[in-house]
Amino acid sequence: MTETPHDTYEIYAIKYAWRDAMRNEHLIFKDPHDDASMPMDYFVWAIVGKQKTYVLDSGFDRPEGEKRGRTFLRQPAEGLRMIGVDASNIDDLIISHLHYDHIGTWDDFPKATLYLQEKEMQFATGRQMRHATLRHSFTVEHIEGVIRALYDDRVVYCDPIEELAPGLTLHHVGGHTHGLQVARVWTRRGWMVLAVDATHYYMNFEDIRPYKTVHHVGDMLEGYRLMASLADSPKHIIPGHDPLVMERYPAASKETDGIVVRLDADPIY
Amino acid sequence: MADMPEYEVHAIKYGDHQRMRQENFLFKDPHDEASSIDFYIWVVQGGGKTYVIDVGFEQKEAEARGRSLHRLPSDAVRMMGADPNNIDDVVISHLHYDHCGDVSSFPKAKFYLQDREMAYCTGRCMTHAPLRHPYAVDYVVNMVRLVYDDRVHYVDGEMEIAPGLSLHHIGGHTDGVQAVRVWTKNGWLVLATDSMHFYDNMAIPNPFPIVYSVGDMLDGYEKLRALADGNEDRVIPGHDPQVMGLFPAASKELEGIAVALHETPIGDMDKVWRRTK
Repeated sequence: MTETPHDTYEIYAIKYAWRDAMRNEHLIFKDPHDDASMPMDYFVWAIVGKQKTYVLDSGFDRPEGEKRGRTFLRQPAEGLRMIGVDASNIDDLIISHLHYDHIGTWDDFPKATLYLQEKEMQFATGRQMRHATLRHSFTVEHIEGVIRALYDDRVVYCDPIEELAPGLTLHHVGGHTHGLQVARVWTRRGWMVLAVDATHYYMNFEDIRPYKTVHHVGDMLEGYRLMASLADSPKHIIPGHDPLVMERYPAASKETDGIVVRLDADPIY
Repeated sequence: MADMPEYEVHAIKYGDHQRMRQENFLFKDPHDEASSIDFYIWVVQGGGKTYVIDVGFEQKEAEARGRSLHRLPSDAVRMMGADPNNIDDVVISHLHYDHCGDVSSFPKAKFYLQDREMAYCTGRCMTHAPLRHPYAVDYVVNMVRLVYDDRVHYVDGEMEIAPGLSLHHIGGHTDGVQAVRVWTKNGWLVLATDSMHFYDNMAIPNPFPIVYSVGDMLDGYEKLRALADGNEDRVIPGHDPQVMGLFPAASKELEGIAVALHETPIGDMDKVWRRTK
C-alpha cells in the first residue's frame, strides 16, 4: 500500500481573550486545599497548507465577552490578519463545537463552509437544552446563525470522521459536548492533535482530571485515549484553553509576540 | 375509560391553494384534474381546557409560497371561543412551514414536538434541497429560540398530554411527524396531520410525494388505522378539502370554515375510502 502524500501544515494559535480563574473552578474532582490561580486563555487556530488555509473555530466578539465577563483582546479575524489570513476569503471554517467561545464570529467568514458534527447540532437544539446547566454555554443567536448557514447550503456535517484534505481530518470525541470534534493535522514534526475543548488544559489529560463543563464524563475520558492514539506523542496534543501554550511555543513573529504562537515548532518543555 | 373526558375536536380551515391532483401523489394518477389543498389547524376542547394542534403559516410565508391565507391560525382558534393568549399547550405535528408559523400568537404555550423532528430539520438531511424546501428557516430558528426559553416539550415516540389525548410518532413525510389521538363520544379520533394528507393517499394507497421515507409513510398508514381501533373513518387527513363536507359545520356561521370531527360524519365515508365502486 502506498502512503497518500500529505500536505504539511503550519499551525498557529491566536489568543483573542482571557479570564482569571482558580484551578478548582475547572475540575470535577476538586482539592479543597488547592487555591492556585489558573487563568484561561481563548484561542482560534489557523491551519496553513501550501494550497489552502483552514480556520478552526471563530471565538466570540466583544459584546459576548463582556456579557460573560471575559477580557476581550481582539476580534479573532483581526488576530488572523496579523498572520496574513483574511477571514473574508476563508472557504473552510472548522467548528469544534457550538459553545459561545467557538462559533461566535461566524459572520466574519461570509464565504466559508462550516464543518461540524451533526450530533453537536442535535445537542444544541434538542431536549437536553431544557437543562440550564447544559444550555448556559450556548448562545442561541449563534445557533440561529449556523442553522441559517445550513439552509444556505454552507454547512457540512461530519460524522464521525471527516477528511478535509490528506493530512487534515476531524474526529468526533464528545464528552465536553455531545458533538465535540478534534482536528488531526500532519506537520513537519509529525501528527498533531488540536484538542480544543477535549482537554482545556494540559493537566486535564496528563493527570486524568476531567474538566467540569461536561456532558458525558465517560466520553471525555475516552477522548483522552483517542487523542493519545491520534497524536505522535503527548507533546503533539494542544489543549484548547491553557495559557501554557503561549509559553511553550515560539511567537509566530516579533510583531505577534504574546498573541500568536507557532504550534508546529518544537515545544519548549 | 371513565376518567377520560369526551373531547370536542374541530378542524378549522385557514388557507388553501389550487393545484393539479397529480401533485398529491408519488405515483402518477392517469385521471388528472384541478384540485385544491386545504390548510387546517385543529382545536381540541375538553376537561376544562383547549389544546391547539399546529399553528399554520402567516402572511409573509403565504406570499413567499403563493398560498392563500384566509385567516391567521390564532384567529381560527378565537373562532372556537378560545383566547390564544391563554393557551397552555400547542402540539406541533412537524416543522414544515404550514404547521408552525404563528407561534408568537401563543405567548404562554408549551410546544410539543418530537425529538426527531428538530434533529431532522437542523441536521444533515437539510443539505438536500428537496427535503429542505418545505421548511422556512425563520420558523425553524423561532422554535430553537423557544427551546432556549424552555418552552418546547420534546416527545420521544409516544406521550399522553392529558387523559384521552396522546401524541404518536409516525415519520415518513418527515422524520419526526406525529399524529394525535383523541377520545370523543364516538370513540377514538386520530388527527393524522401530515402522516396522511389526503384520503386517497391512504385509501389507494398512493403516498404523498413530499416524503422522506416511503416505507415509514406506508407503515404510518397502518399505524393510523390501528390508533383508530381499526376504524379508518375516524382517521382525519391533514390537507383534504373533503373534510369540510364530510363532517357537520361547527355552527351555521362557520359553514365552510370549521367542522366538528367528534360528530358522526354526514358524508359518504364508503366512497371516500373506496370501499364501494
